[in-house]
Order: sequence, then C-alpha cells, then structure tokens
Amino acid sequence: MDKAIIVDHLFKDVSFTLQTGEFVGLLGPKGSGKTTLIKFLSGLKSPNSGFISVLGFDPSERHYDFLRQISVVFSQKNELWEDLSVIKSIEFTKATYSMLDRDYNKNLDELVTLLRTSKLLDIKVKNLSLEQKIKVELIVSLIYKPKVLLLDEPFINFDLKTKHLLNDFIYEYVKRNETTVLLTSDNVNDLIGLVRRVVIIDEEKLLFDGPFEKIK
Amino acid sequence: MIRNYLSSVSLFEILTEYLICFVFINLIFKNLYVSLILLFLIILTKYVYKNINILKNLITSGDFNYLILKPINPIYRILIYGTNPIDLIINFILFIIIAINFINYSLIILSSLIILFSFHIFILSLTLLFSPKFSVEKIFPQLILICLVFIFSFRSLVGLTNPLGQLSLSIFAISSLFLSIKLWNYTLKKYNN
Repeated sequence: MDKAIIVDHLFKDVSFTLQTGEFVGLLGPKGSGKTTLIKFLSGLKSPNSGFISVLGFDPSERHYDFLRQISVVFSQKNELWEDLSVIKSIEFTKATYSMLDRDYNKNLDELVTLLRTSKLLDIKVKNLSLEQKIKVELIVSLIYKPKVLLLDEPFINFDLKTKHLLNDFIYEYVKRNETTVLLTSDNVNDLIGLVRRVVIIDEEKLLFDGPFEKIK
Repeated sequence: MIRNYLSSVSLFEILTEYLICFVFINLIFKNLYVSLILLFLIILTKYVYKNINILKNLITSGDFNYLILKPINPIYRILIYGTNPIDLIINFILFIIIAINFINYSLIILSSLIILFSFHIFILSLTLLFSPKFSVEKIFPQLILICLVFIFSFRSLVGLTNPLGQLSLSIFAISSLFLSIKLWNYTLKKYNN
C-alpha cells in the first residue's frame, strides 16, 4: 500500500502517515492545531519546520496535479455561488476540473443517489436549507473523485440526525471509492462507527495514534 | 455579488451616471471622440477598482482560500466576479465606435488595452501582497487610477503615430503583460492564508 499522507516532525514532533484509502479521525480540543494541520496538508499554509507529503507532492507548492487530486471541506464555509442553481454549481466544478462527460455523469449519478438530492438540482443555492447546502457542497467537493479528502469539522453545526446521515454517506462513499480521508473533530462521539483509526493531538503534540477502540 | 450590485444600482442610474459624465467631459474637451474614449477608460477604471474590492473581500472572508485550492488560476474568477453586464455592453459599444473611427491606430489601441490590463493585474498583485494589512487604494485612489489609465492609454493613443513609436509601445505592452502575470503568480505562491 502506498502512503497517501506523510506528516513528519511537524509542530512539536507530530508524525503520522495515512495509507491510500485509509479513513482516519483527527481528534483534539479547540486550538490544538487541527485546522492548521489541515491547512498545511492542503497547501494553504506552509510549516516552518517538519516535512509534509500528500500524494507525493509538497502541498505548499500547490502544484496543478496536486490540486486536481485533493478536496477540502471546512466548517461553516461553502464555496457555492448563491445565484446559481445546484446543477450549474456542479457543472462549474466540472469545467474547473476539465472533467469528461462520461466521468461527470457517472459520478453525479452516484453522488445524487447516495445523498438523495435529485430533487434539488434545479433549485438555486440561496434557496437551500443548511442541510441541503452541505449535501451540495459534498457533491461539488467529490464530483471529480479526489484521491485525498480533508474534512475540517464539516458537520459541526448540524443536529445528531443530520450528522449521522452525513457520516453514513461519507462512510459509504469512502468504502466505494478508496479515498484517503482525514476528518477532524473535537468530539469523539462524531467518529463512532466511522473511523477505525484515530490520531489525537493537543497543544501541537501527538498524544495518541491507534485503533478507535483503544482510546476509551 | 453581481446580483447585489445590480439590485442596488439600477440600469437607469448607471446610464444617467454615464450620460452626465459624458456631457461633463464633452464640455471640457469639446470633442466627441475624446469624450467617448475617456468614458470608455472611466468605465474600465471602475472595473479595476471594483475588482480590488472583490479581491480584498475574498481575502478577509477567507473565500480566497477556496479559490487557490482549485486547479485554475484565481485571477479568472476575480475578473468574472467584477464583470457588470451593463458596463460590459456599454464598453463594448464604445470600443466598437472608437475602433471603427481610429482604425489606423488599431495597434496602439490594442497595446493600450494590454497595458491597462497589465496594470490591473499589477494592482491586484499588490492587493494580494499587502491586504488586509495595507490598503492599495491608499496609493491608488480612483482618481489617480483614472489619471494613470489616461496617461498610459489615451496619451499613447494621440501621441504615438510614427511606426517606431507604435512598435516600442507594442513591445512595452507585451513585456508589461508578461511581467504582471509573473508578479501575480509570484504573489499567489507567496500567499499564505
């Protein structure tokens, strides 16, 4: 198995790796460095020390081939154009990633079915509810089949029922597509039944890296 | 963003604003074409100024982070965001009128537009480099922008008629475009959240 993500001696000696297709939870209280780590991995920030590799790229270079293969979803942020319909927003992503019609139709079909969003496609983004918006956001983030998905507390604002629904979708999607996923959270309950492995950091230090069952 | 702009400024208001502007310029210069060219430049300057604000808003809201994580240069999105359909149509009509009447100067007009575009990218690069710590409009307020655009474009339009002048202007235009794109890509690479 290839290593999709390598983090080596980051912060105060945080090191871990993610194999291709692995789904790992990154736990830590607020201010522990989770979001900063996601920013390092996505190339939004470059670390002062340590080494990071994502799919063999240095993220801070923001190489074209690197950007085509990763996707990042941040909490309380969305990249949708309010005035466009849902389908136009998705088509915009199709154009950005120069997707072939065949791949686009197949992926769209899969995502719309999994998220049960076929009725939303012609509605304008501004008329969507919060739950519908995150679903569309997930379609836009996954339509081009990224190899690495970074989720920074994406479902923090949702009730338990919606969280379960979205978690089920992520679980099912990852199982089908072998996507490497790093999902951050400050609540261990969010990761139950979702990930097998958990990395815990606090104050920029690595506290735990192992199976989910062993953290209790 | 475009919707907000259109709802707050109606078509009638925009046309009235441009008509007053045109009449005012015409009173000063007493020349139809000079007035049309200046109006064209003012509308272009408005576009440049608007894009600076768009970029600043994208940076402060954090939405710029999304743009730089796409496999497409964010400059395209900024240029599209700033486009106002009414201005675009008016300027297109003005450009056609100017181009038809100054057909012999087409190379100069083209070079001037390239210089203006390069200047626009240069200002956006400065915005990206210094925002939000420092406001680029402080160095280039709208009035100064119009003056600079006037110097770069309009002066060259009426001043350079000999072939050597035209050629040097074209070389300058292409070099400035090349350098401004280089600068934009450099600042983009340096941009660190």
